[in-house]
Amino acid sequence: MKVTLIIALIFVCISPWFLVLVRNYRTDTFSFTDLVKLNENIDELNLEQTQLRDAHLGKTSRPIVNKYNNYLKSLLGRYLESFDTSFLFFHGDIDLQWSTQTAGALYLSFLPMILVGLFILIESYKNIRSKTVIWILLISPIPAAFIKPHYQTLIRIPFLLVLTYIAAVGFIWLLKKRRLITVLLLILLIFEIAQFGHDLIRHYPRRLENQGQSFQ
Amino acid sequence: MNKFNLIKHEILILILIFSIGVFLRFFLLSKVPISLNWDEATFGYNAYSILKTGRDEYGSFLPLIFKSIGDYKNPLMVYLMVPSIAVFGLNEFSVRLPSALLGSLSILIIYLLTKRLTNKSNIALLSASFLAISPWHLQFSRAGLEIPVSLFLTLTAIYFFILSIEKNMKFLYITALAFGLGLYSYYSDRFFIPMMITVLFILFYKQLLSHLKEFIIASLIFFLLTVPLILPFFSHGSQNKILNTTLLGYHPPLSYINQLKKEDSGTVFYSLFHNDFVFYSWLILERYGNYFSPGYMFVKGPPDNRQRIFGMGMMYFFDLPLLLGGLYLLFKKRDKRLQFILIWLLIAPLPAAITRDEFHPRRAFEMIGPLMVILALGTDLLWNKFSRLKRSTKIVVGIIYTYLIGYCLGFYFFSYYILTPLKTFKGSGGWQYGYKQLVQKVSKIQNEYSKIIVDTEYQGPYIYFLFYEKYPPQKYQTQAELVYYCQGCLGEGAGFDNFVFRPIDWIADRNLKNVLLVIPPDKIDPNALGTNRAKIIDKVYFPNQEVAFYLVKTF
Repeated sequence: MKVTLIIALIFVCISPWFLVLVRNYRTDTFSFTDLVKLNENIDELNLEQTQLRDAHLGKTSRPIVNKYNNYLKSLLGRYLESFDTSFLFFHGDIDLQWSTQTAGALYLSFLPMILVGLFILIESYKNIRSKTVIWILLISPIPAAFIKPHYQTLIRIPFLLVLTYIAAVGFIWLLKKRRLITVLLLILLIFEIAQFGHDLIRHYPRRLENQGQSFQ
Repeated sequence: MNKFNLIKHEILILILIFSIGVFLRFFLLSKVPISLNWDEATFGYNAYSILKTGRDEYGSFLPLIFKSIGDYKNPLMVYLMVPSIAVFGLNEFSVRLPSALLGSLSILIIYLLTKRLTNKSNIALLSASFLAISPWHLQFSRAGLEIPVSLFLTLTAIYFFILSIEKNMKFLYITALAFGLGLYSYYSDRFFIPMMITVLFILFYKQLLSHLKEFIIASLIFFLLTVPLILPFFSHGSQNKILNTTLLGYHPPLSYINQLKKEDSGTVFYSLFHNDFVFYSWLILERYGNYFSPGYMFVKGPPDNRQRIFGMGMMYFFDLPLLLGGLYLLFKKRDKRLQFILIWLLIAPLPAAITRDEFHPRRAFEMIGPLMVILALGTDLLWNKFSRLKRSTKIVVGIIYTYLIGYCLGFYFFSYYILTPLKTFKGSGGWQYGYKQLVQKVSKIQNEYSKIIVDTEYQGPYIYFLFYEKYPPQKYQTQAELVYYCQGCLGEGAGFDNFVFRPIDWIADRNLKNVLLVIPPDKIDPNALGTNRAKIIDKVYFPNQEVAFYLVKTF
């Protein structure tokens, strides 16, 4: 458990989301913007209801196409965004302030570790620790579901932390049982860290400047 | 219940599932999708041309590649449409019939295949049920497109492969035939099928090599079917298609590359981090990941209007827990057949991942087979877990899940039949609504004009005029000419008789005499026409009552 936590901590400290957060940290940037409202996209919903009415399906469709279901669908969509590969491994936050957008919130080399770690935790679900981690994994993206901006990193920090822990679990298992795969993953990880670091220092400042932000 | 009654029971359920699948694929088939897109129209007209003359629209005799609009289509779909058009005539129904029919039959094949793979009737019935109502499968089974055909052939091939391993090796010949025909169905399959064959060989090589005679004959059958494709593969058209579609032909903008080089100048970093291998690998991995992304699969679907169902992804929300349960089972069990399903799922999106589009469900259609089996496995697993829950928890979970199923199915119905057609009707990225109505209006007056110039902004008008006028193919073949109006664009038929299809230059073309211009509204100001040179004589409207075309007479 201790070793897992240490590795998880190392993983966090080298993760893209963390490094960008540290680089761009300002006390006045931590403001969560709009919440998703019940009347979100109400104009579009009204248009859909009109179109269904014109097709003589107004009454039949009302239990399905209404603002409550729309709202729930919106929440579910934002919840699932946390698990998007684009957010996690390729582009991260759509706000350049919180992501270089040439890397995800986590490194791609974490993915096999996460999958292995997840499998191990599910297999040992009866263990209280495993159960807790799985439930935190499922619950931690819920706050992000209520935030209007898509793929927001800050509100997903708890989710990213638990994913990183799961990656550490997977890493330790792979290290014990599959040394060759671990070596290959480490090589890939080192390359990704180097590439990310290079982009963060060399190219990312220019992209930020082009967008009118510098944070330095 | 004795065995006979169980089998009778199973068959009745299968008939019910099949009937539902058939109904969903044939209900309002001519009307939804809202119109033929130009892929359907070109398939249809070329099939009509083959039926009447044995040649395609350009006069090639029984071709193995159809030049069409410059996208060089695979032949199988065209030939499958020939009998359909012979019986029902050249119309929307006959064009869409082969996809709908083979899409429906896929339900039976997946039942048989799943039963072979899992030895469980309930899981087989479940996989058939999921396919019957799959929005992804329905989206393409109801359009006159090749991919339901390719999936049908893949399922058939794999089913008979399993049968050959278990029962009689001679079934391998049907596998070879099905895989061979699959190469003629859709371009992605030319990448997918060799991979699938390799996987099957690696997993089952002992059984294959222990029946060497049948294996060699099957390989010969497949090889003979492949041979006619070798030369066309190296043709200019095929090569162009590959370059235009895949990442092979994609290069980042020069300004982007120069900027990177400038910032990395004098260092080894550009060669290390921005070389072609890293760049293209990253793109491919990103695209590959999109096919396992909840956002695309369950929430927003593809950006392409012809592929999307408004307001939802390619699968239902209620599929998600079942999918996770099924995947868990695949990882857990060390069964070769279950491992095969997992490998099938992992290789299926590869042909799509190497193309330029970020998410293209049509090219990843082969994912549907393993996904339906996994959903069935997941349902079986989760149902067992559900049965063991406390009564109060069962009630709560049951109510929520039933509500979710009802919502998803209900929304799909309303979206697919009403909302999606009204959001995806326009242009070549959509279903190109308006051409049928246009042809009906123009045909009545075409002899009154020396020339009818049809603008190509919405792309492909020529094929719709050929299609809806049922223009004699033998006449068109002598006039056929494909013209390209921009780099990297698909082509346009130049024209036939007094029809010309090209971009209209309003300033120049309004000076022509006794010409009918068919022009989209953004190219002219109807209030500034004046009465001494041109006059709007008719309009074609989109379903939202916006003008699609003005018919402008010049004099």
